[in-house]
Amino acid sequence: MNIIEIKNLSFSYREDFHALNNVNLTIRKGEWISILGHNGSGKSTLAKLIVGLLKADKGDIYVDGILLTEETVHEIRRKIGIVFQNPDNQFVGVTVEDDIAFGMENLNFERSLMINRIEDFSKKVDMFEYLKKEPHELSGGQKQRVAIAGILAMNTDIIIFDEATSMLDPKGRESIMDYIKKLNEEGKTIISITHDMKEAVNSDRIIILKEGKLLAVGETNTILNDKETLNSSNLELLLPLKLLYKLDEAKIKNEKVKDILWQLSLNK
Amino acid sequence: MAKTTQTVLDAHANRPKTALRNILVIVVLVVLISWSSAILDFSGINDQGIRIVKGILYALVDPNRDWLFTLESYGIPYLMFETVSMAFLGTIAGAVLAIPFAFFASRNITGNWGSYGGSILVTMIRTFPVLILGLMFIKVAGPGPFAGVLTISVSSIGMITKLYIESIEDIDKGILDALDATGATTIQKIRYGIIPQLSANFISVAIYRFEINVKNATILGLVGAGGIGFTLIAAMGAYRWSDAAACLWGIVVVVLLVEFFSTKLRHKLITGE
Ligand SMILES: Nc1ncnc2c1ncn2[C@@H]1O[C@H](COP(=O)(O)OP(=O)(O)O)[C@@H](O)[C@H]1O
Ligand SMILES: [Mg+2]
Repeated sequence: MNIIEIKNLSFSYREDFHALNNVNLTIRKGEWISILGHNGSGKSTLAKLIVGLLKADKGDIYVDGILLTEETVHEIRRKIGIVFQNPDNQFVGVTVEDDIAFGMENLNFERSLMINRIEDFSKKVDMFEYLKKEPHELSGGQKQRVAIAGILAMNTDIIIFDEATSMLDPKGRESIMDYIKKLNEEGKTIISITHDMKEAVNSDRIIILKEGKLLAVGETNTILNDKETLNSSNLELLLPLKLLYKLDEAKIKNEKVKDILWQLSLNK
Repeated sequence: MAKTTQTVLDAHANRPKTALRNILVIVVLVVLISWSSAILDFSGINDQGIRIVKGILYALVDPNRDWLFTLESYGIPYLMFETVSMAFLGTIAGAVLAIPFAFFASRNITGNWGSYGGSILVTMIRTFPVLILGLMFIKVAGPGPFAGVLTISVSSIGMITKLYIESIEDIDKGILDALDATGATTIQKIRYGIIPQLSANFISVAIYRFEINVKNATILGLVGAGGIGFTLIAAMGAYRWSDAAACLWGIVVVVLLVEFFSTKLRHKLITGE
């Protein structure tokens, strides 16, 4: 079943320049899909259009069968949570627990339920011991985890991560990627946006954006094997993938080596 | 790696070759200087002038102690308190009045036209020297500290607005998006997204302007708009040097104190330590 359908979507910030140009796309319920693209390819624009932070010039977006309009935007935002790039921009509470509660307050949760959920979801992102802490006492990765807990507490079906790891150190990145994987396994639909191919290889499908246009959509394996598309996307290729392509070009057919490189490409 | 530093020699080698322009500038300057000195009447420094300077210098060592250390309403502490109060009230009024102007004139709030209109308004306010504004407000409110407060508040709006605009145009829109996405109301967006980003900067701007206003308030008395300036000019006019010196000491001490604390406070506000 498709949880998001995007039809002929276009958007411009300025008259003479399309940030997104006629994008068609469907996202299935429960899948983990990566939106991969160079800086400025329109990834964030797409995410903001999906949650109604920007208004499309042309085209339609359906979320869970509902057409996104000014009337339905609030209903749709209850189905989609979004974690942004900058951890500091998302921390509005005085303390961690305050911040996790923020989104729930707007959804009129009961107080006792809120307290339970703060406990549950802070535990889920391993921030339970930090509930009373203030933002300046936390690392960037911890703040992102708090943002995730806040969104989990709002119980949305879909979570978008817009380069949520890009301002973190390697350790912070890894932990966020682990949570993404876990959340997907528990049934959330995940849209993870990145320019780093390494973060896309474990998702079910990959979308590649280039200069506002959809360059490719497909199963992760298919996309990673599509040398022409990847080369034309201007993305930084993973080293093992580069080696694999080179072996191919040199017509070297050692299956064992190829398999090792393939596994390495997939982070395994 | 790109070369990022340059030596003095490099700079000299790359200096703009503008000999002709320099000669022109010098010629223009010479013409202007000779023209203005022909118009101004330099009567030189006469004996009277030297006596006055001597009088003030001696008096600075021996100011009127009765005035310096009394809490009566003719004393320096009271007059400086009045002066600082004028600056304080005027700054607060100006800092508040500047808020709507600043939002109106910020490019990211009202776009190019609003910002253009706003900056014309601000520039118009800024063109009036504070003493001229003072003279105008004395006509409105009569002589005294109230006219001073009005003068200070209006004369502050220009600069404060200009500095506010810089903070507003620097607002990070990311946090507003994040709030929007969690379903925040407009009030919450202002409360959590805008005020926290602006408050420290706004307060810091106001404190900085207060520093300037204390100095302005000391001279507003010259035109009768309250504060210590009136007493100072009266004492000088009557050749009461030790009284004038007491006023000067009051001004120096208070201005230095205000500057010291204002710098400390602003540093704390911006760095948070
Ligand atoms: N607020 C904005 N105003 C004008 N242009 C913008 C704005 N945000 C993004 N753009 C432009 O739109 C294009 C797509 O940007 P974005 O969606 O942020 O890319 P990505 O997230 O893939 O890096 C870029 O060329 C960018 O410069
Ligand atoms: Mg982006």
